[in-house]
Amino acid sequence: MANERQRRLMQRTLDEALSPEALAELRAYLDTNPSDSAEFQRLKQVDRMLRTAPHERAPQRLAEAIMARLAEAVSARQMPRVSGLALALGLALTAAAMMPVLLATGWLLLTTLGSAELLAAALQQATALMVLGIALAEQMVAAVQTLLAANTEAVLLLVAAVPVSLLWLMRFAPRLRAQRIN
Amino acid sequence: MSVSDPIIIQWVEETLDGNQDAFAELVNTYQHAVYNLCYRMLSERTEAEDAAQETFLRAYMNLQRYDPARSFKTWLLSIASNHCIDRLRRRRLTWLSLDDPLPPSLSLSSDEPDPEDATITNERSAAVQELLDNLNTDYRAAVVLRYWYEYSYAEIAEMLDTTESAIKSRLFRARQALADRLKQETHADSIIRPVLETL
Repeated sequence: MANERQRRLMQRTLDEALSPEALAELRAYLDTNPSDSAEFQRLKQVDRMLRTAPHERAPQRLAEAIMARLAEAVSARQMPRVSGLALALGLALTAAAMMPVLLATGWLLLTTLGSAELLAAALQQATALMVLGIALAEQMVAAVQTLLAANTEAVLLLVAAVPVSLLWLMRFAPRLRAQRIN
Repeated sequence: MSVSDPIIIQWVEETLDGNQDAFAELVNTYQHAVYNLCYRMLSERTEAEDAAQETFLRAYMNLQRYDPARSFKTWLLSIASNHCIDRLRRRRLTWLSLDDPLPPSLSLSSDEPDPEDATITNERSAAVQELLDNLNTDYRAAVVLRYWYEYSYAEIAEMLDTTESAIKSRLFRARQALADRLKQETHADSIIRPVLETL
């Protein structure tokens, strides 16, 4: 029965060239031990069988199935991002809707404090800001109207800009995300 | 481990830029290597196909972790082998015994030109698979990566997250177990014996 060293020598011959001394030692041992010589032959058969084993080819539909599954996975991953955007939009709208309530609360607070002068000054400031905002918006609308009246192609450009921006976002968002992760 | 071709690196970068067509090129290039590994590990074509799909999906999701200084194929096969090992362990947990070998499929693929050659190839493939079915999960992974992909002990150790001596020992024991199995292959309906005679 082969000892550990002889077993190791038998295995090593399958992976690498043994030194002449080690090879001579193994041959001498196998010549005098027919049962271990038979075992060595079986090891070599296993080795040959594995070395000549064919590679299995993937079914033709595999690549297509992978890409379909990938598309599903990618769209599933994008769903939470859309939900996150909707949540942010919802919060912004709620905050805007809450503005009159906040102003009313502030007015009540100032009234309670009994400082009519301070309240009047605050209201004046707020009114001035609102008037300024409305004036700016009116100027912007007028500027856009003038531009569109002068150049009708600008309307088409503005309409085209929406899908182009969306496509740009779809293409570059994964890269930005990957950079953020790295 | 060898570095990937520049075109492979380019496809990886384009995939990271969101170009799924570039990833389709990677799938076309490596689908056979990944499928073969999954089939040799799992011994069942439908499950091998599913595992191959899962491998590519995981690769896509983790592509930013791939180091271009290393071989992409090695990285991909590492994902595939670890995924197959997990599947085999789960299979064992669900009491689907590995002692009941699944019947080898001898169906021909439509792209194989010569039916006779294909039959011989399939018989040889099935015989090897019957031998592999006798090995435990870790031994099987080492044998498949060594013989089908010609990785060194060090490379296999890195792929399976273990030591070089552990891989050497697994291959030693695996070959010994397979040689013992050959000794028992004397029954008339063995599919291994006729293949051995052709070697």
